[in-house]
Amino acid sequence: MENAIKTNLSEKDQVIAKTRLNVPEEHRHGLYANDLLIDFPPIERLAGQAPKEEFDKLQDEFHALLKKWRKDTQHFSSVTKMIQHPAYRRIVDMGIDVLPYLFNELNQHPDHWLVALNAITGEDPAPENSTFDEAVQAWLAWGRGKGYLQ
Amino acid sequence: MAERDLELENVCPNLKKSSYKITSPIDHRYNCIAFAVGDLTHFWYDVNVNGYYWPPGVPSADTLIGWTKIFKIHGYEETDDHSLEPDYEKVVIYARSDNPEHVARQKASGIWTSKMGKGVDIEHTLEGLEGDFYGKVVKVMKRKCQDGKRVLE
Repeated sequence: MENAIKTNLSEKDQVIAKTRLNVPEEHRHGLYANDLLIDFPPIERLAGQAPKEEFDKLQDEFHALLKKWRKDTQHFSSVTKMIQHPAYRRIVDMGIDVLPYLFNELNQHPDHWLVALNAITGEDPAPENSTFDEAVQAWLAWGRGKGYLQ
Repeated sequence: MAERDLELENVCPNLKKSSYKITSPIDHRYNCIAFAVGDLTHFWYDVNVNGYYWPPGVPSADTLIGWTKIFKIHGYEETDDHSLEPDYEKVVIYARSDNPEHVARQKASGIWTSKMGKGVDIEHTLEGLEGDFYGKVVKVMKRKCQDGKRVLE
């Protein structure tokens, strides 16, 4: 059932749907992840549980995707285009295991990872009406609290 | 400040044929729409995570009608004339197949200025940014200066 629904979604809607979990109902429009029965991996799954080789491979892949995404999207004004980029989508698909790398990257080189973090964790710790910088700081505090960032 | 942005020139090759000037460092915190309305603290887009801004009730940021509405809210009206008129501030929207890609605003000197995605601010000609990446100018909008004064330099 879930797969059938997801197949019928455009690529954009699949990514956008994952970003809307925390939007109050009165402000919603369009498609939503929880309406579509998209499951997220449990937050309790800690990054350290997988073998080291897997994480080395994951880290290498993450950095290759990051480099590609950063280069290709540097001059986009559209967040839709940024998050639809195949490298961004692949990073989101990596799920919880990529969070330590993602938080480290956000800490060192703040960029448009808020949508990916929201899609992976189902959380949005940034205050409403926050600026981009304020949202980044809120996410970094959240990541430290969860142990994803030292 | 660097004199050239080679990656930007790669996506906008017409910049190499015209003069342009980099006027800010790279900054991911705001985009061309924000810059055009004078806000350097928010990235304007309708994304449903906190940290982005899009005015309530405005159509999607993926549509030309949405971008046009933003500037109507800020007092602009549509025109066909992108030449310098001393009593008016002007913006132009670049689009590809009706998909808005970029916006630039005209300075008092007549030169155009804009924020290049997550990158630098530049001063440029209108033609310098036209091409496959941002498309072409599809809409010109203007607003009258108040008491002879521009809201933005």
